[in-house]
Amino acid sequence: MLDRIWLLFFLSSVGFSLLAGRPEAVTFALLKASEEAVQLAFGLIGTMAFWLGLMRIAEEAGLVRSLARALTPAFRFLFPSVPQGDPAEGAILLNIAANILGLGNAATPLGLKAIRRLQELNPYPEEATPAMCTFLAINTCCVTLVPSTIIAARTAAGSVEPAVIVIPTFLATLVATMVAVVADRIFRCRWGA
Amino acid sequence: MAGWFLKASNAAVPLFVFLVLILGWRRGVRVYETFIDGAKEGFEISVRLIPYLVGMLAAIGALRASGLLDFILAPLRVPLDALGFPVELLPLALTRSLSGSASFALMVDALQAYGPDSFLGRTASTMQGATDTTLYILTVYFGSVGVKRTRYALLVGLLADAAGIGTAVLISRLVWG
Repeated sequence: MLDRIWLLFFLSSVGFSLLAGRPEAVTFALLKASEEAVQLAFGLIGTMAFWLGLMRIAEEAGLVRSLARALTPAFRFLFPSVPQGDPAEGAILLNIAANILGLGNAATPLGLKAIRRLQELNPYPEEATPAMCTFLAINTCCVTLVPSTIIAARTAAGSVEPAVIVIPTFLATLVATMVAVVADRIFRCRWGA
Repeated sequence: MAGWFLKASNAAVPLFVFLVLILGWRRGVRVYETFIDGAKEGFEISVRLIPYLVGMLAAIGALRASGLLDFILAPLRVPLDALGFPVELLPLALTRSLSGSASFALMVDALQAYGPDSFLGRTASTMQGATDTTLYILTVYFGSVGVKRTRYALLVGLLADAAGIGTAVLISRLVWG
């Protein structure tokens, strides 16, 4: 799909610029954008290095585990179909905790482990279970405490206040997650088993 | 309210750094060595972004420079303005659920075109952070276990994306006007 969109972007831009009689603007934009992409990526290195270093400390200190434990009470409410003490419970909680802390690299393997276990509990392997839908609903908009890559990009773009977006972003992810949980619950009841 | 938001947001990062360091120290982590170890990944991750950024920023740059983007967005300006939605960020809002690298590039494009500290720059950043790439997550997770009928998962994901992006615009309007 992205393949088609990308192709469409280029073909339509070149076509339109020829019709509008300014193909030189496109030439310039292509070269400038490519150069800026590299500058930006290099500008990201420092902030990303700092953040990944800090988050490694958080991981070693067991912050993910502590947060997962704090989220346990919500688990029974969100995933009533997962048996108490099932391995899926730990994997799901750790995945959500890692996502909240912005540890994408740590979150994905935990999430894959969680869904594999949910699939073992699935009586119809071709069809998603309600627990899977809830798990992915939370994953597609997970609450984010610190959007580190965005702060890094803002810094690289020369922002004087790269972090002003932290609380607005946190609130927006909170609303998105609440909508996801509520919508998931409504659809789960409407859809039938 | 705007002042409070700014202060709290700007304090969030130092506070988080402080908390992580205290926790690491109390739990006997060798903080400096661990930090260096983690920081090594910063270079690799940033460099790995280059091809995606070049591909996407070039496509968006061409779209903007050819005048096609303005041509498409111009008729939408009035109805979106009435809703309080900044028309310049419509492409970002529409790609957010489809591709993380495309929407990241669109955010970067907005930061460069309007400035990272402008209303549009801040709103673009908040939008990008407001939700995750629904399509990618569903594809990876369901694909990894061979689930074919995904029921209402996509619908819920897209609803949540819309809620996140809507909230991002609403908060940005309230705080940064």
